[in-house]
Amino acid sequence: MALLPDGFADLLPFVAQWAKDDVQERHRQRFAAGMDGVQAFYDALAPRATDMMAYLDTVPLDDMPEEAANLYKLLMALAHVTLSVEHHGELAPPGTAFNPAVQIVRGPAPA
Amino acid sequence: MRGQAEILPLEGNEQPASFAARGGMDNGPVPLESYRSPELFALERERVFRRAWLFMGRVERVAKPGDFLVREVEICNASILIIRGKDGQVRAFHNVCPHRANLVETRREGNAPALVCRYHGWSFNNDGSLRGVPDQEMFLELDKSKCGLPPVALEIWNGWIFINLAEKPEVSLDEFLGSFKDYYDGVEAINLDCSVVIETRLKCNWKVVADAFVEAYHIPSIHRTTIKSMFSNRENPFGRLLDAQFFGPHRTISMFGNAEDTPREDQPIVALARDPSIYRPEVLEASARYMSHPAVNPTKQPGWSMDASTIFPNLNLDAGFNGQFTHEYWPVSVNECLHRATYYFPKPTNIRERFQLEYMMAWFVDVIYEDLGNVERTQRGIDSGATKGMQLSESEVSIRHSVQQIEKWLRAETVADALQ
Repeated sequence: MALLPDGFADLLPFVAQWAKDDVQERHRQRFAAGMDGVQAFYDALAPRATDMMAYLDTVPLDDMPEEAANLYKLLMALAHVTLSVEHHGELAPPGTAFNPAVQIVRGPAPA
Repeated sequence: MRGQAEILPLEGNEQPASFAARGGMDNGPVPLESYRSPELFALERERVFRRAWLFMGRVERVAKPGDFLVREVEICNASILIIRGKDGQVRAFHNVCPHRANLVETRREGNAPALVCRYHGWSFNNDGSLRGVPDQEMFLELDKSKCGLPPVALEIWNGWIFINLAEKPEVSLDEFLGSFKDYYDGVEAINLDCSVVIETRLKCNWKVVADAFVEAYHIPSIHRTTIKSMFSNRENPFGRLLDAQFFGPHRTISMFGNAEDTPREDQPIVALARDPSIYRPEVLEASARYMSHPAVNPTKQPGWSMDASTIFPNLNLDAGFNGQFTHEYWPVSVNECLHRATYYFPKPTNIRERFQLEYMMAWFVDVIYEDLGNVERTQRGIDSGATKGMQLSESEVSIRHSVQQIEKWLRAETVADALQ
C-alpha cells in the first residue's frame, strides 16, 4: 500500500515524522523538529501546496483513503511551520519558547 | 440599574475628557493589592466568584439530550456538570454524588443517558434526579426524592450559559448583565459549528492574564511577527482604542484595525490560507448580518480589528470579523490560574477551508504564546512588592475599570450594592 498518492513521491521522506494525527501533535512536531527541520519541511512542501489541495479536493474530507490522509496530514503540518518561516523567521514567536502548558484540548473535525 | 446605561451623554461630537472619565474613573495609579494578597483572594472567592454569574459555555456544546460538560470552578472547589435533559432543558448540578460525595462524572464532555457514580453505582437521570441505588433496601431512611444531584442556578442568554454558585442568587442573570444586555442583545452568534479550545495553566493571578487581552498597547512590542500589522499602522502605531464603554461591572473596548493589512510577498502560504475567496457565500452573509449590529464595531470604522467585551468577572466575549470568541480566566490560587480561549469556525466543507482553519489555529496558539509570555514574569514583579500600583494609559482603561469593579464587589455587602 502506497504511503502517498501517485505524484507525491518527493514528499515520502516526510511522512514518518510529519504526518501527525491532530493539531496538538502537529504543534509539538514543529517544535521537536527545530528550525532546520521546519525550514527543510517548508521548503519541500510550500511549492507543492496547491497541488496537494487540488488532489485532496478529489477525496471526501471526512472519509479519506490512507494515502490521501497522509497527504492531508502533511498539508496540515505545513500550516504550523508557516508560522515559524513566514511570520517569525525563527522557530517560536520572538521572546518565547515551546510551552507544553499550552494545550489544544479541543480541535476541529476532521482532525 | 438595569437598562440604565452608565455612559456619559455625548452631545454631538463632543467627547468626554477621557475614557476613564466616561467610566467615572480618575487617571491615577491603580492598586495591585488584589493581584497578590491572599486575604483579598479569599474575599474574591466569597464576594465575586460565589456571587457573580459565571460563564460556562455555549448551548451548542450541549445540543442533544444527554450532552454534558464538566467545568471546574477551582477557586470555589466546585465541579459543575452542565447537562441537557431528555426534556430538552439545560441544567447545572454539582458533580457530586449525594451518597458519599464522590465526583460522579469523570469526563470533560460527552453524552450520557444516565450518570453513574463509579464508587457504588448510584445512578442519575440526565435531569439530575436519582435513578437507582444498588441494594437500596439496606438504606433504612433514604428519601430518594432528596438525593438527586445538588442543583446549581443556571440561566442562558443568547445561547451563552451562565451559572451562579450562590444557593439562592441575589440577582437574576438579566439584572446582573443590566445595561450590557441591552447594548449587546441580538448580536447574532455565527460560525458556531466547530469550536477550538486552548487551555493554559499559569503561575499568576487570574487578573494578570485577563489584563493581557483587553488592551492593544502591548501589540506592537510583543506581537511583532503576528498581529502587529493588523492592530496598528503608521497613523496609529500604538493601537489606540476606537471606543470604550462601561455598563455597571461590565465593559467593552473597540480596537483599531489596519484595513490595509494583507500578507507580504514573502508570505505565500499565509496568502493561501487567508485567501478571502475561501469564504462561502453563506458564511459571508452571516458575517455581514452580525457585523451590522450596533454593538459590533460600534464606531463602524473601516479601520477596526475587534471588540473586547468583558462580562464581569472573568469572561471576555470578543467580536472579530468572523464572529465571536471567548477568553475565560479561572483563578486557582492567588498566583495560579487557568486561561481558556475558545474560537468558533464554520465546519469546513473542503480542503481550502480546512487548511485555513489549521493555519488559524496555529496562528492563535502563537498569539497566545506571545500574550502569555509576560504574565508569569509580571506576577513575580507584582509579588516583589516593589510597586504599589500600575500606571495605566487611556489605552488600558479596561484594566482600570476591572480593578475598580473588583474593589467595589469586595466592599459590597450585597450584589445589589455592587451593581449600584
